[in-house]
Amino acid sequence: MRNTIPSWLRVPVVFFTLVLLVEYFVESGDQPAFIEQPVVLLFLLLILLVLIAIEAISGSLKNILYQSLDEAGKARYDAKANEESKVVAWIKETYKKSLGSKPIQEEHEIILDHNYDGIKELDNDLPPWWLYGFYASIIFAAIYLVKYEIFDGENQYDELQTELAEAKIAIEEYKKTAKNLVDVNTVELLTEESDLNAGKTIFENNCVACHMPDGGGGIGPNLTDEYWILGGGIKNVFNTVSEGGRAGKGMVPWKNDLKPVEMAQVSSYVLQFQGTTPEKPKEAEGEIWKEE
Amino acid sequence: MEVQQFYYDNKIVKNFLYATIFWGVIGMAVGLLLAFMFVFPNMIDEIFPGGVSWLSFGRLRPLHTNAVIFAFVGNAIFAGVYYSTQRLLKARMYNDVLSKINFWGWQAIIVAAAITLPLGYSTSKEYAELEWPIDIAIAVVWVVFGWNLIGTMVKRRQRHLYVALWFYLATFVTVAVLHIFNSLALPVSLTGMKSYSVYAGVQDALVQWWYGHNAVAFFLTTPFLGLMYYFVPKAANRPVYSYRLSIIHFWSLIFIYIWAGPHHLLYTALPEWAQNLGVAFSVMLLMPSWGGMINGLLTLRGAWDKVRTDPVLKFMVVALTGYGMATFEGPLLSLKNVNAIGHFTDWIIAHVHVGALAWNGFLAFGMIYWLIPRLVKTKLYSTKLANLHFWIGTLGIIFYALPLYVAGFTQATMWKQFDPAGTLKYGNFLETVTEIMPMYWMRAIGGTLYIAGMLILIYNVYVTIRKGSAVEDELAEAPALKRVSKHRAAGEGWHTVLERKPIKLTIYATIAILIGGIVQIVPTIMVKSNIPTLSSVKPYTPLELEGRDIYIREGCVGCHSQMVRPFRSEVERYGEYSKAGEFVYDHPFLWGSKRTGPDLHRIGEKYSDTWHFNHMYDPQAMNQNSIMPTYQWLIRNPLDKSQTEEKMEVMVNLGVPYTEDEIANAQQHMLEQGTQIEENLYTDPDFVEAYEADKAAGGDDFVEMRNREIVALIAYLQRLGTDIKVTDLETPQN
Repeated sequence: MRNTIPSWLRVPVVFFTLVLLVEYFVESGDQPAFIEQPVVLLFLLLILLVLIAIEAISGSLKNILYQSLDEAGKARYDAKANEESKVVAWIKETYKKSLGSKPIQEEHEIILDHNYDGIKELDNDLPPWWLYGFYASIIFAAIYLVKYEIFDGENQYDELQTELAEAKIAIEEYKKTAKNLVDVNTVELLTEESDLNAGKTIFENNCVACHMPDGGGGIGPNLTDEYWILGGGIKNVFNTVSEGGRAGKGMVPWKNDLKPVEMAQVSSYVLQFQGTTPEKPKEAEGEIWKEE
Repeated sequence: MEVQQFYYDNKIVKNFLYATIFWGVIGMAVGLLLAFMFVFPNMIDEIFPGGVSWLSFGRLRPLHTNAVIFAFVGNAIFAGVYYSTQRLLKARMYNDVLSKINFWGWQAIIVAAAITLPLGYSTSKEYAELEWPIDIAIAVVWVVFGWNLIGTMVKRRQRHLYVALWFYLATFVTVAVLHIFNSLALPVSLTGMKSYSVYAGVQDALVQWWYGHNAVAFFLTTPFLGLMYYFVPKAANRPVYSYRLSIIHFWSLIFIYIWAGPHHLLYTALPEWAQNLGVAFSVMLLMPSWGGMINGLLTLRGAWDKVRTDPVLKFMVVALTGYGMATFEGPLLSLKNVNAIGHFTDWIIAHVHVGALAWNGFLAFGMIYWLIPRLVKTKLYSTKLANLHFWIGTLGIIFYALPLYVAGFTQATMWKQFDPAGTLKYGNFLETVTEIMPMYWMRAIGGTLYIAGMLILIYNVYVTIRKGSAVEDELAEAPALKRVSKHRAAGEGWHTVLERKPIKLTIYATIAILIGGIVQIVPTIMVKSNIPTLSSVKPYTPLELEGRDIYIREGCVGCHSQMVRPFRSEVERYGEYSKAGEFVYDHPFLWGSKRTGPDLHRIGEKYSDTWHFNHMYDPQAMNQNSIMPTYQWLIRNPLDKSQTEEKMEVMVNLGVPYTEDEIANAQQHMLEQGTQIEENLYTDPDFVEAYEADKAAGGDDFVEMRNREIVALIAYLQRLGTDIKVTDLETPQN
């Protein structure tokens, strides 16, 4: 009975193969399986323990059998056991081949007569894996240049167009089935208590620096009067929140920071200010807005 | 054969070693301060209310990079080169005076850098931030170094040049070429520090990264490979693994390296043929780089038992491994699809620190621990302490690099995610910063460990020197060289012949390193179709030009790019992608290489003047979690308009079409544009209140807001990226 693979190699290999299999078979979405379903972790731990136990048991069994042998048998067994396992021998051999170097014992054959402040140099061959790796990288580079410079591979601006086109299709596909979508054409004034409360929170987090908590205005215009620079009413207000005010002067666009629903909520909240009396009202700016 | 006696100059080596250690601590300490500024962005303001301009992140960042690269690594190079060259050539350095000029000149340059960079004298070109008078000094001292090096080769007593010396020669010529061509600039006046790069926009970017990439190659890599080829076989007492590998990887490395610069500009407005060359050559660079690593590691064959006990070898093994990792990652990051993730993030910061901390730092430490006892004729005071340094340093590298890899990857992923409805999932840039704050904390801890190791080294070295006795001139002997007879030269290989002809070797190396740069840079500058002109792009107004100089002075480019790449996520977040023709008047270019904050190329007209004003005064008032530091001195400082006309005239000499009228009316124009911005600021009632109060209390020397620095900076920011809004993009003009 001779080992072909040492246990320190066998246990991790078997274990990680099982991990990969579990990952492949257990449905877990984007997350790794063991995060999505912690019980998997427990299962893997158990497997690991079992693997170690098997090694321990077979080791002790071997020991018992060994003890039952006679002296000659023991000697024969020892001789065999001391041979290197095939796998390790193969790895060592392959490594040596891919390195292509002379063994240290034969080094004197290839030592050059250089002597630089006591530093000598060997004349080992270029390691084959290095040399062929270098060739491979040159071939890769040649193919790469030919593909993009001669055969007109996709350039970075083509890539962008492809990306945008794909995104457009995906978004349209999504909008067909998605619910509660709001945009400037479909937005309506929200009156639910919960929406207005949400709008209030958004307003207080983002807008008070310029418009004051009571909407009286400061850097930005007064929101309590009936004058609007870019038009009143839910559609215009939503649009201004989304796209921003006048270039370089007014408000920044919020469409990247707030979701459409949130913009509808905060716009509805803003319109609540109409007709209230703030503490320090800013003078009116823009035109009087009348709902048509 | 007559044996000659001579003395090795050990004093110069020792001086360079002390300088290495001293500047190492300074450079790393500044780095650590910067690391803590990520987690406490306003730590300076807490101590000195109102802020200290010369302790701000933007100005200290170039000080950190320059101190580590040119002061710490630079002095280590000189120390190692001066020690090994003398011994490899069996000769004292060519001239003691040149050695002294090299040493003191270099230290003077570093001191000048340490003073001018915090004061804001910066060209903003990375690792070439120093202004023109210092650039000239660098060129002079560098030539002195080369003269001394080649002079020593000429009077050598060793027939052939060892591989370490080939690397030193390549280093000398290439750094000279890189430094001179990248630093070409026109000074605004001969009495001032300010200058403008002769290249603009895309061309400046290409030249800068040809320099930047090859500064890494020929300042941080080739000289250290030379040092490795001397100190590793010495310390391990083993023959170098393969002479043939040395030859092949030397020539392929220096030839291929020079082509790889454009991989810093993938997906930018750089012409794509140049980008593709950058990718192809970066991939080919892997094996030549690894040639050095394996030749070093395999030299340790049969000496691994020594590695276990000798701290010198331990440092060298980790250095070589770090070199291997960094040079594997380089080609990886040069692939366009990987670069699209890694570029502009902390991944790159992690990558360069694996190179700097492991390869350069650890090799320098190994060299110091090996050299110091030999220079003072004693044993190292404590091997245990050296081992402690090794482990703390290694831990420091891991704690530094791993969190930043995670940070870079996390942030890049967040930048790119969309909601199914087509809006960015993390539309607010700040969310992606807040997410990685824990990683910035861990990085600061890693840095602390690393510098702690450095302090242990200082103690160990100090005690060793105290108990030893310095030998400043070490006696050596060697026979003089005889002429090579025809008979002897007969069977020699061509490379062996080259190895005894230092001038020829230098010339060949120069040719090898010039080809790549010429092929890439000359067409980009000469061929017009590489940068399609956009007729709507106009030069900056005088006030914007002054604002741009403030942007450069404050080092804004350290955290903000000006390059919207053609990705859906960036076009959505920032606006239209950046085009080559938009940068034709940008001397220098300001594309940046890191986005700690958002890109600014399309910032113009996005926010109001008031927003910018308040944001510079107190960024946290706009966004509580912001890690932008305050810039209150910009609001206090009067704008220096005394050189505006001269600046415009220099720009005219560089090809920017300012008319004589525009230059003559510059002051008037600045006043008008400044007044308009001041008026816009009046929309903020808080500003009005505070400003009017200041004015009332100000007295005679009160400077109106329209004449202060902040107004110029706002003018510049509001201009950024707005030129192409006014016209049809599809029809480029000639």
